[in-house]
Amino acid sequence: MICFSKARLAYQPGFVSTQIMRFFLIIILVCLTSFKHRAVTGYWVIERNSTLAIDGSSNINKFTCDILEYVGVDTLRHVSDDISRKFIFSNSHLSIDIKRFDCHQKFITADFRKMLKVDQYPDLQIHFVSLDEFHKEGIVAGVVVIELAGVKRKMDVSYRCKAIGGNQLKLEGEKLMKFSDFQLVPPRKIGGLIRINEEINVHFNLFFRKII
Amino acid sequence: MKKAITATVTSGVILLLVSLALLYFLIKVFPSVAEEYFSPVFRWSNAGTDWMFYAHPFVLSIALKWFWERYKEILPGGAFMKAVEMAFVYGIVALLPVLWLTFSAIDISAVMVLSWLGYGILQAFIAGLVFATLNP
Repeated sequence: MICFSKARLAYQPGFVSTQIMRFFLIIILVCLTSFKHRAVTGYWVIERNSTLAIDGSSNINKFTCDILEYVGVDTLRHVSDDISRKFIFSNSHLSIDIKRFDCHQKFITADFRKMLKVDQYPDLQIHFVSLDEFHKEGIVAGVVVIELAGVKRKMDVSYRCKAIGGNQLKLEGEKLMKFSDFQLVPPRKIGGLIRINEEINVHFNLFFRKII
Repeated sequence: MKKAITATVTSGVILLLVSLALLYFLIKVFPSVAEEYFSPVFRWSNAGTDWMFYAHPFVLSIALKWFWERYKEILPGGAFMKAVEMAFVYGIVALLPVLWLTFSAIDISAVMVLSWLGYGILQAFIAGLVFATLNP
C-alpha cells in the first residue's frame, strides 16, 4: 500500500501534464472545427429592376412575353458554410403576377394568360433551393423549383453572376422549357392549324441587394 | 343522282384543300392578319369542334349544290360565267349580310371580315366550276 502510494505520487506530475495537453488539444480541435464549419446566414432583397422574359413561337411568328419590373417585396434567406461554399435557401421565393406578363401582341397576351390558367393560379413562383459557390463574376449553377399553374418542377439553372458595387449582385440566365413540363397545353385555333409551339426559352435578369 | 353526289363530294374535297392552302398562304404572306386567330373570340381547338372546321367545305358544297340545281337554268353564259354568277350571288345574298352582322357584334378587324368575304366568293366560284363541269 505504501509502495503503491509512493508510486502514484511519483507518477503524478506526468499525469497532470498529459491531462493538460489533452485539454488544450480538445480546445484547439473545437476551435478549428468550429471555424471550418462556420455557417453564415444572409439576406438578399430582390430589386425592382429585375426582369423576366419568355420567348415563344407560333406557326405564324415569334413573340416575347415579359415583365420589366419586379414589384414584389420578397427577400431571400440563405445559409452558406465554409466547406461546401454553397448557398442553401430557405423559404425564399419570387412571386410573379402572371397578369403582368405582356406579350406585346394583344391576342397572344390574352391567350398566354388563359393558357397559364391565370384565374385559378394568378402567380408564377420561383423557389430558390441552392446556389453553388460563386465569385465576383462567372458562371454559377443553382437549383430552383418553379411552380406554374399548380405544377412544381425542380430545375437546374446556370446563371451568369456579376457583383455590382459593394452589395449588389446580378444573376442572369436562361432556361429552355416546354409547356408540357407544367402539364400546360399551348393554344391551338382553327382546327389546330394555327398554334403556339411547345418550346419556350425563359430569360431572367435578377438583381439582389445584400442586406446582411 | 350519282353525278350529283360525285360533283358534291369532289367540290367538298377541292374546297377543303383550297381552304388549307389559303390558310397557309395567309400565315406566310399576311402573318399580322393570321395572328388575329389567337384572339379570344376564336374557340380553342378541341376534338369536339375541330371536326366541324374540316367538315365545313362539305356542308358548303351540299348547300351550293342545292342552289345550283334550283337555279342553274337561269344562270347566264358558259361554265365559267355560271360559276362567276353563282359566286357573286352567294357573296352578296348569303355572306355580306352575315359578315356585316358579325363585324357589328364580334371584336374582329375589318381586314379579317373582308378576307372571309373574298374567301367565300372564291369557294363558291370553285364549287360552281366543279358543278358546271361534272354535273351541268
